[in-house]
Amino acid sequence: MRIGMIVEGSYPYVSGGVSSWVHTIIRQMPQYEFEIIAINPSPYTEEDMQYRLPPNVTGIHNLTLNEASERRMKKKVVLEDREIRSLEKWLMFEEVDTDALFVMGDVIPSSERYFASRIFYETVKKSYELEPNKGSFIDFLWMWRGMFEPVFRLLQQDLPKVDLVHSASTGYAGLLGAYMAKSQDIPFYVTEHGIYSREREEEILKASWIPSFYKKHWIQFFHHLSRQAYKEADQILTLFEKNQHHQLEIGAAHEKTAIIPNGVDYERLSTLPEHKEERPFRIGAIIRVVPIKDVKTMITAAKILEQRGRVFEWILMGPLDEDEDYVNKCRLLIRQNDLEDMVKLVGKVDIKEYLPTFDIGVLTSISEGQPLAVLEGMSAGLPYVVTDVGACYELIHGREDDPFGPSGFVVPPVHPDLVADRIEWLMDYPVERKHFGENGRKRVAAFYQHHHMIDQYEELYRIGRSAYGRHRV
Amino acid sequence: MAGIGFKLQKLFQEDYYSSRLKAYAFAGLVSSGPWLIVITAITLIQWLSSRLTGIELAERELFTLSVAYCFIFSQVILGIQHLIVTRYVADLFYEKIYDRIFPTFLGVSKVTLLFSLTVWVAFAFYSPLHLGYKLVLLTLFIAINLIWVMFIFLSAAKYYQAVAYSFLIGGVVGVLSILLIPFVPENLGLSMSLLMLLGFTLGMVLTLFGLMYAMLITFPNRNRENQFSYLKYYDRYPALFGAGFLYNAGIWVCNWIIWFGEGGSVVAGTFLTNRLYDTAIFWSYLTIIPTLIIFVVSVETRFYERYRTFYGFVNQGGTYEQIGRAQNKMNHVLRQEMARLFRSQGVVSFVAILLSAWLVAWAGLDREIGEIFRITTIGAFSNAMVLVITLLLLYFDDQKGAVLTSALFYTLNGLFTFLLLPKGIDWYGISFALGSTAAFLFAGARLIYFLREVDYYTFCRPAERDGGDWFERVGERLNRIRVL
Repeated sequence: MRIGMIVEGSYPYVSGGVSSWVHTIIRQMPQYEFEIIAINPSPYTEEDMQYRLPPNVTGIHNLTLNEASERRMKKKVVLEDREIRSLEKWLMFEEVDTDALFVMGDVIPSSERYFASRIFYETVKKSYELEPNKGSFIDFLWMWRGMFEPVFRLLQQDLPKVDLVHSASTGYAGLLGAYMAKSQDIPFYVTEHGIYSREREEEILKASWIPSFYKKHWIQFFHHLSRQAYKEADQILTLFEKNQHHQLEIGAAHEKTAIIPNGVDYERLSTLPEHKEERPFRIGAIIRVVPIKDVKTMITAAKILEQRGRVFEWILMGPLDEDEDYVNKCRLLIRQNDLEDMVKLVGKVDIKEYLPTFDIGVLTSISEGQPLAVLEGMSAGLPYVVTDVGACYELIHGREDDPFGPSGFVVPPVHPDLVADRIEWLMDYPVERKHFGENGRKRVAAFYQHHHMIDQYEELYRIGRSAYGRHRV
Repeated sequence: MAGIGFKLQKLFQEDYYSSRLKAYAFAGLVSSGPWLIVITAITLIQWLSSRLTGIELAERELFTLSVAYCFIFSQVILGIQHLIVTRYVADLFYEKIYDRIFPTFLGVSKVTLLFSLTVWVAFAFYSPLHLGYKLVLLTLFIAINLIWVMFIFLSAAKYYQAVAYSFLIGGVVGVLSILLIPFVPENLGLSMSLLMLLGFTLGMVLTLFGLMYAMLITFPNRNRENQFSYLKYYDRYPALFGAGFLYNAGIWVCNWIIWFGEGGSVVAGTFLTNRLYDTAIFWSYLTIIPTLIIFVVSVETRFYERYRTFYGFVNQGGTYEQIGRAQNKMNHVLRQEMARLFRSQGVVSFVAILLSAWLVAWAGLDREIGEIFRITTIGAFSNAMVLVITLLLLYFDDQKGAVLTSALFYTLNGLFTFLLLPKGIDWYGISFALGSTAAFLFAGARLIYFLREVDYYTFCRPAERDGGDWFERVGERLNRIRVL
């Protein structure tokens, strides 16, 4: 069986959570063949690859949003009224009718032609009429083009024939998944790591270059894409409960949703040899040093602890090359606070050598999906202080029917004083600390092991094949 | 989390439409100003030379045809580059890349020189005229060609004054030099035609220097970089090339064919001519002068104001309602002005036809000329409308409409003339009238059709066609040759 794996802005060119998830899935299921369909804003080449493609990857299709397809059309296309209506309703966010995708992808084989057509102009005018506060028409029109041109271009690309399609996000990837599923009559799964449309929404609200006037439209657009994916998907998966709630809010059908958390290599991490030597209290953080991880809050918390007379070592492990400007700012902050002896940036290291030396783990991100770093630390028996973002609360307290008890503390983001308080508490209560660590270890063992995730996806792929496989040759 | 980088800013910063098109209209229309000065000069020379100096007819005819050929072929050569260069220079102005303008002028001049020389060499090879005469002719030909080139640049800079004065001085000198001919010692053995040509050439060379001076003070930013970059516009706007070339060729194609028909003759073993037809059409063209003047005036005043308001709302973020209202106003005014133009020119042409018999008798011309004139005047009327509508289409950047009109104009004029040629002199002019009128009707329909949806065409103009990059590469190669 051949699975089309659609990724957007990640595998195999950009490393990160989604990419390593894709890589794991492919490597752990050598019995299936994978076609990678990588959507990126600009073209990448083989040299940009961050991962060695496993042998069961049978093809990689690079699609960019900003390039027209190679297809040339000679004849003029006449759209039927039904097609025009369906397209118009889709473009005006009234319906997520998948037939509209065929009009965009198959009937109109050139986005240039469409955007030069009267149909386009009429639809824009209609949409403009519905705006409550009518502003610059040319801005409105360009917003429209900017919004839909990538969609047309994407759908007009040549796509591989597969037996099942799985997209690693909604957005453009989810849209393409919906289109492929419908046009090839194959099952379609979507796994959302973060909630795509909400992430775009945050970006849009922050983006100063979009006239505030049109922000609403852009936000609607990304929700529209998500709804399209949810509509066509046979399974809507995510990593943790909070995300599932969001999916339901946006419009995912409840019976299609399910949670498959990420897993870690519990076997190896839980059996690391213990370090016995005498040392100060050691705090570990497995993070890329980038703003989203809010390293400054960590440094500030360290300063508070130091001012309270605590003795400790705080080790930050993870790549330092992603945002050098931010790394330098963090270094400066450490120096200014005289924390060089206590807070150490050790760069990308083998965490297995460090984990057994830590007493606790800390994560102070302002945004997360389901952080593997926390799961890895918990496997090694570390209690955690985390911020209340993404799946962090769920990892510390467990889902509804979890029997294991808390494995640390959850604090609101950007509160260094609270982080410091909790760390102090854990320093002062070694017995409870051990107990928390054990709770976490058990939780990972029960729900978050590597093979849990793989088994569930394997099962899904198997079901997909048998459900649709019958009428395939 | 992964996701597509959000890089759509530029869409909100891009300027979509630029109202840089008006440059065409001025370049096209004001060029009839110099044309008029030159025609007046030639007519005066004709008159003076016959009245005052008693130069014989054959010599005068040789001179007139020499000058006419220079003008006809310089117009065709200009047509090859005219609209393309106008657009390129207008874009340079719009983007404020002023230091590219002078080098472009050098490049255009060089290409023009190349064409002029090629035409002249062919001519010199086949004509039995005296070499000295041919060389003077070459000087005149090059001077006129370069004058047109400078004209494009000075119009773009809106330095019409310099243009007008230069032509005036050149014209006056050309005319007055006729008066000096009796003072040239006869023992030099110079033919009268050569002397007339020398005088006229002197005038044109003076005009050239005047314009050159204007060029130098208008574009003080002089360098030699990227002289041939403008060639890439041939890749980008092939329709502009087509419109410019075919319109100019279309004006003359009837003459070229009729030179071979009944009444055609060869002067001095060199110049094909058909005295009856050529004279008739020359006078017909004079009847459309009112159109040219009215159009410039109405365009500059009433219409252009509305036009600017419309595109102002389009570009600077007007609401759709504002755009729609501006569009209606603009179309309304344009309809009014066109109707007025049509009426005024109609009256002038009609009166000219009515008075033609009397005029022909008064001027002592052949009766046939009057008959042909009546028909070619109808053709000239349509031709004037074709010119005006083509310029309007270019105002709205309907390059396709412009090139279709020009192509129709050229093809029908040529085809009808060719088909009717065997029917002889009684049918002369009919082809021109038919061809021009057909092109006029087409262009008019196109303009009406286009204006009805001008907002759609403005906003949804199809992406520029990918016409390859042959000319661009040639241009870059030429740019690199340092001696050029």
